[in-house]
Amino acid sequence: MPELRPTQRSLLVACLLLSPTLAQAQQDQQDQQGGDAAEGRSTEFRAVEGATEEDVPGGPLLVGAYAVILALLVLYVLRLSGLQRRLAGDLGRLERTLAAGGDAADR
Amino acid sequence: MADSDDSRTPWLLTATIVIAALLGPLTLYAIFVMAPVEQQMGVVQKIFYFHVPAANAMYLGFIVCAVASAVYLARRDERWDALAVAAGEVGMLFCVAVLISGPLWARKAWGVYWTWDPRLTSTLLAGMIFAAYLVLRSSGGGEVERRFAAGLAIVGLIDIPVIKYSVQRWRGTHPTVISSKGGGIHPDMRPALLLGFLFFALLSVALIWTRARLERTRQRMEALEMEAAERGLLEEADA
Repeated sequence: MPELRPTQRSLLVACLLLSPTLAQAQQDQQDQQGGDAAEGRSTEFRAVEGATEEDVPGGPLLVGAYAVILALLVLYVLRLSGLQRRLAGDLGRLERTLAAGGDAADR
Repeated sequence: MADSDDSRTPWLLTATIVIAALLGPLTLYAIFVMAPVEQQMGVVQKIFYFHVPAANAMYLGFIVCAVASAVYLARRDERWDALAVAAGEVGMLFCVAVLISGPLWARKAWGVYWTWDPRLTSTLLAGMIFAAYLVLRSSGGGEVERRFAAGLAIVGLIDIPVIKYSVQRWRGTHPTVISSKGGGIHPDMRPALLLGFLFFALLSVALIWTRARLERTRQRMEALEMEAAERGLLEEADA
C-alpha cells in the first residue's frame, strides 16, 4: 500500500467520518420525496363548484364502465338460466330412462 | 350448512332478489341524479359508486369460496363444495367488473388504463388464482380436482388482506378516499355509495345462493345417474 501524506491521510479520515452522515442525509431526502409522492394520491372527493372543462372526456368512460358491469350481470343471470334449463332437461331424460328401465325390469 | 332439498325457492332468497331488483334503479338514480359531480375528475368519478361495492362483492365471493373450500376439505361434504363453486364464480364475476371499471376510471384520473400499483397488482393476482380455481373445477368433477381446487382457493384467501391493506402499507397511486387515511367523500355522495354497497351485497348473496342451489341439483342428479348405472337400470333402459 503506498505511503500517504499527512494531508491525504486527514482527507481520507474526514471522508470516512463524513460518509455515514452523508448517507443518512441522502436517505432522509429520499424519504421526504417518497412521502411527498404518497401525499400526491387522492384522499378525498369533493363536489364541483361552477363550470369546468375536461381534457379527457369522462362521459364515454363512465357509460362504458356501467355498460360493462350491467352486461356482465345480465350475462351471468342468463348463464344461470341456461344451466337451470339444461339441468331440467337432464332430469326429465333421467326420469324417463329410469321409468323405462323400471318397466323393463317389471316385465 | 342447511341443505335446500326443496325444489321451491326459499322465501328469503326470493325476498333478497326482489329487494336487490328494487334497489338497482334506486341506486342508479342516486348515482346519476342525486350525487354531485366531483370537482377534479368530473363525471368519471361516478364509476366509484359501482367499482368499490363491486370490489366488496368480490371480497365476499372469494372469502366464502375459500372458507367453504376449507370446510369441504375437513368434512368432505358436497354441500360445502357447491357453495365454494358458487361463491368462486360470483367472486370472479365481480373481480372482472372491478378490473374493467377501474382502468376506465384510471384513464381519466391517471392518464393510463393500467399501472402496476400494489392494489391493482394484488387484485389481478387474486383474479388469476380464482380463475385457475374455476378452470380446475370446469375440467372435471373428480375428487382429486375438487381437493386441489379447494387448496388453491385457500391460497387465494391469503391475497385478500393484501388487496385490502396494500393502499395503507405500500406507496401507490390508488385512491384512499374511504379508508382510515382518506379525507372521505362529500356528504351528498354518501347515499349513492351506501345504496351501491347494499345493492351489490344483496346481489352477490342472491347470485351465490342461486348458483349453489343449481350446483346442488347437479350434484344430486350426478349421484342418481351413478346409482342407476350401478343397478344396471340405465343399461336396461338403453336396451
